[in-house]
Amino acid sequence: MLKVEGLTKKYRNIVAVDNISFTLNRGDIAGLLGPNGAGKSTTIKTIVGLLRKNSGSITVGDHPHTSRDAKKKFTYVPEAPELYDMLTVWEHLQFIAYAYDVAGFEDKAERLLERFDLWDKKDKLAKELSKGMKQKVSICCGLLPEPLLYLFDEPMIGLDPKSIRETKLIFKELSAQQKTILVSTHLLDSIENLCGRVLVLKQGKIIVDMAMEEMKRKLGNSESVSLEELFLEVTRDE
Amino acid sequence: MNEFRLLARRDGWIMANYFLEIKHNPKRLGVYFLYLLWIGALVFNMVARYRNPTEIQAQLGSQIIGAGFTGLAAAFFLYSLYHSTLESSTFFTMGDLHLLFPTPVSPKKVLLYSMVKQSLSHIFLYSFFILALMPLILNITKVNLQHFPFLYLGFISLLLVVAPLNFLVFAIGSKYGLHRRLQQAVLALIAVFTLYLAWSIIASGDLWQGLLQGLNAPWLCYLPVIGWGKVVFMTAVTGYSAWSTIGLVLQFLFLAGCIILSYRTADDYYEDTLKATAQRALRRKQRAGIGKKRGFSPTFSRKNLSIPKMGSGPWAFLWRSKVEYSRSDFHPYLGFWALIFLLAGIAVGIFAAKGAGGLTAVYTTNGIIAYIIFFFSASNATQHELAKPYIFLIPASNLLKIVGSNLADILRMSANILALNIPLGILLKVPLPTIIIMIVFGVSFYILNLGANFLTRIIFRNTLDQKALYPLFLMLQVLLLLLPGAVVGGVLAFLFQNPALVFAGIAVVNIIIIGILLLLSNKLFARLEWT
Ligand SMILES: Nc1ncnc2c1ncn2[C@@H]1O[C@H](COP(=O)(O)OP(=O)(O)OP(=O)(O)O)[C@@H](O)[C@H]1O
Ligand SMILES: [Mg+2]
Repeated sequence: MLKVEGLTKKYRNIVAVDNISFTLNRGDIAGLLGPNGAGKSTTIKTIVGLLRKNSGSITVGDHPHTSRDAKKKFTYVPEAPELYDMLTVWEHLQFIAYAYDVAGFEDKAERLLERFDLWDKKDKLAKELSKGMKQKVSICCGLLPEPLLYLFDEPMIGLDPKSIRETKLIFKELSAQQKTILVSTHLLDSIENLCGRVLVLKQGKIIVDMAMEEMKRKLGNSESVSLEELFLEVTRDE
Repeated sequence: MNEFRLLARRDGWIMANYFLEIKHNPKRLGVYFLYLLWIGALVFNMVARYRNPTEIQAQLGSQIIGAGFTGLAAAFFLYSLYHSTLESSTFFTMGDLHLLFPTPVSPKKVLLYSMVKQSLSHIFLYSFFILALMPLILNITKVNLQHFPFLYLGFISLLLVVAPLNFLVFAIGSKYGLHRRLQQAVLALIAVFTLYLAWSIIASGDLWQGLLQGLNAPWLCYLPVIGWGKVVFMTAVTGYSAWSTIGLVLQFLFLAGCIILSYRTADDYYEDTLKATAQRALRRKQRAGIGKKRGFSPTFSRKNLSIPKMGSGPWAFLWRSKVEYSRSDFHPYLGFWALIFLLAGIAVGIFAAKGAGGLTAVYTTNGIIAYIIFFFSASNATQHELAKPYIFLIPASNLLKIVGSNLADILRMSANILALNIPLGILLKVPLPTIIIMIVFGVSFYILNLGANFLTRIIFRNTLDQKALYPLFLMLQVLLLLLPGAVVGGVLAFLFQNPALVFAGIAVVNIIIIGILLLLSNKLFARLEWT
């Protein structure tokens, strides 16, 4: 579904993403982990096409990632959402629905808003929303088109417990529908039972890319080892 | 859905929401009414001032206006051309960046739509500039108000071209990796223009005469944007000819050309606009009174600084300012602006020493500086600090917090004013007391304006109000803070027949008001909120 090959991204002289390659297949939920500044957001933004890659290739379902065909296949939830101040919550969803040509979006949008407790806020302007509410609107915008690939950059930051649970549930449902998800996050325990696959970035390089089960087996051989411990173990400076 | 229709729909909703907001809160109409009044006053001023200068005056005046237009247009145009080799312009909001850019909508169409939209809206938005300039123009020369549309369009077309051209230049630079080449080309252009001006000054042997002749040279009119714009603009002054229409058509063809060429070249421009878009969002916030406004100064990105501790509590603010200024300027207190002030002081000093009006030059220069300070007053430390929680959190007396967070700015401004007045005093042999009065006047005026920022925050708590009621606030500021000093100064000067006393009077009253504000600082501080 998503194929990244030899991707390098520099900001002037800083190499933020250094020649990384990975492939996500249909139904994969991959957690993109790594310490602050590891290059997670840069990777995702480059896949989305907000940043230009310096080298490498990215394809989404065999289309080059900036092509229209590719863009129809994915949505993106940015790390700090910025909405249109003067549009209401509902109008945001409407806008996204038109942009992605979502058929019969009203029902879907209503269901999403209900799930995230935003239904009663649907006529509020974005500038009147709290930070967490904006984040939820942004997630709803990412979910509404029901694409094949979801690119989520720290989607659960600032959400209340119910919304976090809802998001996780939705991820599970999506995976069951053979959708592909790439989600960057620091909330390890919240994805521990969710992601089948873990990608750990450090200083722009992928240092771990394996199935969750395999990773657990490799490092602890026991059920009690948490993802947190694994993470600290693999990202520790020598 | 058709992509242009999608974008138009979005903008339709946004407009509708603005109207709804006004409907729910009709008080805001009052604000727009104030703006209308303001524009009305400007227009009235324009008509009321309308008089017929003598032919000779008008003749010289039209030359001055022509030269002024060309000079400013060229400076503005060349500067923005240079800027466009460093950074793209933007037509987008942060919302576009996060919601629109990732969608399958064609980037080219998004660009075309946004460029055209911005150009159309700017045709009206920039009208403030020209209306505000009109009294000045009318004072200098005769204007045929019948041809006012030409004057307006000549001016506007120049502003309109800049953003698309900037985008185009940067996009071409990114696409073909030409940024350095383009930069060299623009620098060469700037050099040529400067040399040309220098040559005309030397050839005529007189600074003003040379500038007037050089900038009014007929061949300049053939230059795109600057020259064409001038021809159109000057129609209202020198009369209509076929060239006016031709110039106007050429200007708009050029604009259309920039937009179409951008549309053809740019497809992968998203990254280029990220920085400019974020900066624009920040500026919007700053205009609404949140976040730091940065003055113009060259940036040095010194990473390793070691500024020693300067005391605890409120002095942490001073330390912070010092770090910031050390990083962004040559010296924390004697910065870029001190240099400019020094040069200005020397230049005015030399000029005035040649002519007659020594003291007048001192008064005028200091008056102009005060005016500039007043206009850019809604800025700096206070705003910056108030936008952050620390000033509310750090345990110290309010008075000390105010002093601590403003001291660096005050010291910097004092250095600037000294740098201006010392060369003036020496070159023009101004008596020492007068120079001291000037310095105290400038510094007290600056401090008063800093204090006024606190008051804005307190009077207009809502940041939206702050933005919308800005003209009203300026008026209030004039009434409360400037008028008393001016009255006292005026009376003193009249009684003792000494213009320096105007400044002395203002300085004394300023100091008294500052004292009162500081005495009340506890009360005022209690009313501040962190928003
Ligand atoms: N606009 C920029 N200009 C220059 N360097 C940048 C820019 N954005 C990010 N970087 C650098 O690129 C590297 C990767 O940043 P990125 O934002 O991708 O990290 P991240 O893994 O998302 O971190 P976090 O967990 O904090 O979100 C960092 O070293 C950062 O300093
Ligand atoms: Mg990040």
